[in-house]
Amino acid sequence: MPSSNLVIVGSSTGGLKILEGIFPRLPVLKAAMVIVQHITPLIDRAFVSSLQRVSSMPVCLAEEGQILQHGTVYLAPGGLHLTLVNNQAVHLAAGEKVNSVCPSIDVAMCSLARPSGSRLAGVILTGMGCDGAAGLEHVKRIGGITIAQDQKTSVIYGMPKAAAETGKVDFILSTERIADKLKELFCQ
Amino acid sequence: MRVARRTVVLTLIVSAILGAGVSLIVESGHHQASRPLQLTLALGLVILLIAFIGALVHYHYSLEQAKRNLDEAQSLALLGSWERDIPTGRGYWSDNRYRLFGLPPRSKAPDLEEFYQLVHPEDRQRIKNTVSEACRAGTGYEATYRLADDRQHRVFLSRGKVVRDEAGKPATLVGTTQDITEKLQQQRLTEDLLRNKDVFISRLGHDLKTPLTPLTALLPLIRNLSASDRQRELIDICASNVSHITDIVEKTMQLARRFPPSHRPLVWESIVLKGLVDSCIDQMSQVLASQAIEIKNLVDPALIVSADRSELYEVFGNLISNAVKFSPSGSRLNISAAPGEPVTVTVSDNGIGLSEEECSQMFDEFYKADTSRHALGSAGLGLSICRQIVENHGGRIWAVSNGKGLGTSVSFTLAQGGAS
Amino acid sequence: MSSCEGQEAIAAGAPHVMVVDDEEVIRQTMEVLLGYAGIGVVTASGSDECLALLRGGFRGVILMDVMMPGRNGWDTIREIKQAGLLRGNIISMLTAMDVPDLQMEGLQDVVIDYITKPFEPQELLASVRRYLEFFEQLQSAE
Repeated sequence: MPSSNLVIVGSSTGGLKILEGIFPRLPVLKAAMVIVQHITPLIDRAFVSSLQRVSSMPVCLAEEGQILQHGTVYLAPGGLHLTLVNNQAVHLAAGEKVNSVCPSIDVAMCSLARPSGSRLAGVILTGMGCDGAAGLEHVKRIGGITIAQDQKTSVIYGMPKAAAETGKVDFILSTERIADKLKELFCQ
Repeated sequence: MRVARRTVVLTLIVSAILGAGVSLIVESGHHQASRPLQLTLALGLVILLIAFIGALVHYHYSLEQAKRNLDEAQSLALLGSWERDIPTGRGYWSDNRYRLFGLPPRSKAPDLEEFYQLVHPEDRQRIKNTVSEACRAGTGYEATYRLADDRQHRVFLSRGKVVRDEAGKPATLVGTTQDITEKLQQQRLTEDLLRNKDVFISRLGHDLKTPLTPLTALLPLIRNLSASDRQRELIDICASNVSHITDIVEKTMQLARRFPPSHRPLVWESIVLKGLVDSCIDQMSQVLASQAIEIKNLVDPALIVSADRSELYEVFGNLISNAVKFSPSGSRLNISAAPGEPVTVTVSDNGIGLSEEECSQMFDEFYKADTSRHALGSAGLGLSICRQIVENHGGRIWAVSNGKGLGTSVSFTLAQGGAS
Repeated sequence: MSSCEGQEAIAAGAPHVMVVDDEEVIRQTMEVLLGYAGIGVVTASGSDECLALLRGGFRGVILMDVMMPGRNGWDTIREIKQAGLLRGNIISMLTAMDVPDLQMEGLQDVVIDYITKPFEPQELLASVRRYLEFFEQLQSAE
């Protein structure tokens, strides 16, 4: 069954720790989960393995043309921009760095279209810089729910701050509460 | 100058009258009968003349004295005064102005063109424009300039004012010129000091964190290795003091970051106040629950304020945790807001309460309300941070208490926001 | 603290953590703390020593101080990147600064975490263990 519900998570420095805090609290969600982590190609597979250890959902490195499935976690590979075609098919492309990073969260989030009859949530976690702020604004504009991590639990309160400052964030939450919120949104 | 001329005229007139009086008396002295009377009168007039001359000498002396005092004052103030007749361009400079400019005093002041040549070439055109504009518009001016060939690179401030004649036409330009080099240096020094202070504090904070690292990291290890309870007790004392220092360092740096002029610019946005308070309470739910403190958010959901979101969040965080600290377990906290311009937000508790003096001092750095209890684990800077944030927003913060044991209310003002 | 007592050695012997810091007291603290937890440590006092260790074959977790005289932590990472010595290593920053550092721009994908000084021992050990697990994943993925 191709996915319709989607959670897209943008994360950077300190993200491993935060994600390792979120995943053990998550059951199998009725949504596909795409993680865009600022990462080099050198360590993206290790990142997948690390997440897999704490996740009840299968975690994989996203591949070109892959169709997203509910209850699966996809990590954007390092060094490539990830976009989604019709919110469900993975497209990977080499490209210029955006916001001085590749993969860029803005690129991934801005590729999304208004979902029809399905749920969409965008999350910005810890990290330096402002990647993801414009992306989250886009998610809000097309009818998605937007979440940014709070200052207290962020390793670096840069990206979540930039996102919060757009004024388009629905929830500013701690690591734990982000997990609770996702469960609430995608578990009934 | 005008006063002097008038004095001369007056002297001449009085001398003429007295002279006429004396000669009249001498003339009438040919009549024998009235001789003693005439002599008395003549003598009286002569005495009057002498008295008048005495007064004149005294007046002249006083004038000299006043001039000397003025000159003395001018040289102390590094100030010169001057005036210039606008139609003729003729001017007068006080002695001290010559001295300031390193010129020998002369009776006829340099004309405007000569003055401009004294000014530093880089400042010359600007001064010309300023002066001619002031003369044309008949207004005053203020300008700073340096001199050409001034080895001390002094900076002068000239203030000029146009005095109009009876017809309302600009007649005279009067003003002062002051050497403000030292004043400028002081001003620059103050600005540098303020900026350096912030750099210094963050540098100090950084440098304190390095030696704090082994203390924080190794004391627990030493505790585990220690054999006796007494040793562990002592180590615990050290450890709690280390964490106190760490807290002070942290908070001081947070406070220093918010001091003007170098504080980070605020990001203004319209914020639904109730929502922000909710998420702040949400974040502190664990602390609140552990103290069994009941908190009520009474803010109108329609109320919108204009502020920097994360800074405002910090204010509520500090106010709530402060109220928790000074309220017994099982207390109630209320957060409310009165609409208006500005909006007044109030966080009130039914905790230990404060005296009037404490209310006025609680926002000062390192002030602790309960003097009998120098509790560790509180840097005493949370409320100072609140005050700095509120003041950076252009608002004010204050505390009110009905007295000891009767709870405290902290209120602060925020600008109203537009509909978001 | 139970975390200090736990001496479950992670591949004892070969050092798996490199601490790069100009402050000797920090290097010593790390050596003691990680040593007691059974984690092998090497230290470098600056950029040159760090690169020499990497050229000598060090692979593992690098804890990099940000503020160092001469070439700071960011400069050092850029050098590591240029020298092609990133592979097989995991870098986390060690910093006493409390605000995001703009010099990080462009290195987001290389630096996986931040540790702020001063730190509690449990906090540091938990982080380092996480990096070491990540490092093991990295080795098995290669």
